[in-house]
Amino acid sequence: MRKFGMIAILFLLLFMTACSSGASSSDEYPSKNLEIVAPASPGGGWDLTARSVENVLSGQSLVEENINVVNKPGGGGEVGWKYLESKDSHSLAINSSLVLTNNLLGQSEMTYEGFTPIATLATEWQSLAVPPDSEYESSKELLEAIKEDPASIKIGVGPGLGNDDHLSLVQAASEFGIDPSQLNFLVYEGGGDVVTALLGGHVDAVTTSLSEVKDQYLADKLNILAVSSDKPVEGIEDVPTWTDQGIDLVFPHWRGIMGPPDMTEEEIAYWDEKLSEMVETEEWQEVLENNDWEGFYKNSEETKAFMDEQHNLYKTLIEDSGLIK
Amino acid sequence: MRNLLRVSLQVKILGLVIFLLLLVLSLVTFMVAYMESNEDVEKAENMALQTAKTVSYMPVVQETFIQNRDPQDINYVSEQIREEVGASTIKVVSRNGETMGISGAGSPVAPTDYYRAVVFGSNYILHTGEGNDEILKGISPILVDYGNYKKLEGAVITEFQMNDIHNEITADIKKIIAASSAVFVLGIAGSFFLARSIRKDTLGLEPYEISTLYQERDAVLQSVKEGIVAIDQKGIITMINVSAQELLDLPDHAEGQTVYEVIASTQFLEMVVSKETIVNKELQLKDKNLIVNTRPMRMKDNVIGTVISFRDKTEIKKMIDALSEVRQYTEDLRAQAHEFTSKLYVILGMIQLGKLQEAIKMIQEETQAQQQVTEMFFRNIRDEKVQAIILGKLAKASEKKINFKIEEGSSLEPLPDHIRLTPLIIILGNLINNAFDAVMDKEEKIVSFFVTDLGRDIVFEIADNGNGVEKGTEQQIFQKGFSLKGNNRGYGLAHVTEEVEVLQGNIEMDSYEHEGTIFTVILPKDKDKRFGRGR
Repeated sequence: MRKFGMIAILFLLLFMTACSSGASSSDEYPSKNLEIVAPASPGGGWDLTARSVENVLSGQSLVEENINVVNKPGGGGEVGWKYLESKDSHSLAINSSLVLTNNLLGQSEMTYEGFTPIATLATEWQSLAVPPDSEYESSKELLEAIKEDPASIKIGVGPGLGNDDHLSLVQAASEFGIDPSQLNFLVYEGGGDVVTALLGGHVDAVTTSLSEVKDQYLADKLNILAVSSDKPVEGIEDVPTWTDQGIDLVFPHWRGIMGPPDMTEEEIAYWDEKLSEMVETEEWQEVLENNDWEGFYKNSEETKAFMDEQHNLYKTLIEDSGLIK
Repeated sequence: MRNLLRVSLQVKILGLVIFLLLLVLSLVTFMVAYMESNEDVEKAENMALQTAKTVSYMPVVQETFIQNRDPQDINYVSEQIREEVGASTIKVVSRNGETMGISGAGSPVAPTDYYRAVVFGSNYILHTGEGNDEILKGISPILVDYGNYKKLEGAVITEFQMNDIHNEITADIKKIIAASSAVFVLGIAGSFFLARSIRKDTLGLEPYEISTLYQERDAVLQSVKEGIVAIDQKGIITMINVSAQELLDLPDHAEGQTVYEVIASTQFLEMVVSKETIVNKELQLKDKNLIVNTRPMRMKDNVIGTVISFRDKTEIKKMIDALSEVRQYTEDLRAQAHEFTSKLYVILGMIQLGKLQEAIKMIQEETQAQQQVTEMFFRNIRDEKVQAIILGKLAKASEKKINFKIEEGSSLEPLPDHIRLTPLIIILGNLINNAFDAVMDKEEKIVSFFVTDLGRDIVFEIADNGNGVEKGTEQQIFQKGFSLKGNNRGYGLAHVTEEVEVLQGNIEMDSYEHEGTIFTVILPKDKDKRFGRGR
């Protein structure tokens, strides 16, 4: 009888400590300085996203704790995300589709499922651009030409294969019935080099993010044949989307934020609240405008579904399309 | 089941070892083989991918694309690498499926195999085919550096026949099995020798034989009357038999305790720890007189324990006492015969001298005395044992000029069977002798004996007119070693008391200084009915 009593007391104690520790952690989060990891060197898109989030959250006093931005460049995001994996829930990291494709392309062992999705913040759109004097007036004309003789059309891309710039055109070509393995891609060091190559006449077309070519387009230095958005982009409404031209393709180049594995529901809820407030601020709208980004906010739950969907999409694109066509 | 377990030690050990070895070895073999094969496949996969990558970076491959170098050169290099890594095929294909170089047996390459390499620049592993035709492919893109830009120009495909890998794994497993078989044989041989060695140590006896033997020896040890105790060098009792327990009056669980805990006698303990052989030493322990022998057990000059055996001397002493008493009677009878002879000579002398009247008178006196004694004696005291004792004492008394009277009214039917001669001799002999001794220095020496068996008890009464017992020593005189008659004596009354107690009777003493002493012994006729008075 006494034994049973002891066991009961033990359980009670265990239960109480469990309750108190659970309660205290949810009360206290965040209990120390926060950290946002930009898995790239300063100046890139990821770094810009991280610093903008930090600016708005701190500037608008949405978060009282200090927020530090940490740069962990290397391996197409791999180094920064590896770093995040080892941290507690006070660290978050900026991500993009690379968190999916690195694994699919056999460049990384990490999967997106190893992290806690927090939010999708913003997106850029992809564009297909040609020199102003190009013989191809529309994307259809260009794709027809590629279909005729894939090797004759040189397409610039950078900084590596497998990024959204590359994948968006691969998908477009697939949709049009072109064997993507026949596409004649020239790989340049970065987005700037790609545009330079185009302006210098070294390539016949480039696929890159819209922000890289928008100014040149407005200055009439090149022609944009298609954007990957779902509706015409503000400022360049005359540029048609892929869907406008009969090709079923909407391809966002999104950026989001994620946390280390195993964050509690309370911690996730905290960020849902803060970030949803943040994207409503004027400051954030300003950031979007200045960077030619589009608001693409999804909360943690939506982001999780979105990531799953994107993962399937990329998986199909990378593994299956070659087998079908 | 019992018969099944009752097999020889060798069979037991061998069976167990074989079972364990088989279990452990098969487990280990299986585990190692499993891990080894996984590792081998993984190693082959890495090798395939690394080889493909290496070939893709080789200048000769790059230059073939940049400067349209003779593709034949690729064949030389790749052949060399293929030989080295043991691949079945190394193939270099261009983006549009053209084979730029090949070494080894070529199988047609499906464009789907290298699609991801030439479109996305992926490095990856493929397994194609089934069963014996399964082929492991490591695929790497060829990214040609044109200075300003890079371009995916093709892919390198390194192929390994899974069959070869499986063969290697099988060979490895065979080696492991061979090694474990060797261990198995060694284990069996080892257990065989172990069993043999154990048998040697046990003098060729099987364990159950040993246990039977042990029980037998134990029973022998327990059945002897001599007390036997074995102790180790720390004084812990390792063996003790029933007799020893009784003699030393020890509790049942004495084994495992030290002798110091259970035995109080310092004399005994001294003997135990002396580590010398002691032969027939007498020792007084509580109320017992023991004869002790000890023998230390030695192993290479170290004393590892002692065996102590002892007998109760009390019983022997009693027997000796009884014997000497009997001898005394014969002596007394001889003395009486001698006295009679001298009386006869006196009568002869009187007759020869013609003093017939005196002679007749003397004869009459003698016969009357005899008759009076014997008549009453044989009429009233019917027990032959008591008769014999009293007759002996009468003779002794007459020799010592003591007036030994049988009181009027004494009567005794034959005693019940449980009262035997020896205790009677000890009880009556001692008491009467003591009475004789007490009156020796008196002028008028009177000792009287009375017995009656009316009622349920037999009552003996021996009275003397001696000096009595000194006040304050009444209790002591029943104790062993106390004597008024000098050293090395004083067992008499103690023995008497013991015997009386054995017969479940009791003894009382009344003493009046300078007037005399009366000892009264009361013995029950039916000893089993005397509840509460026995030991």
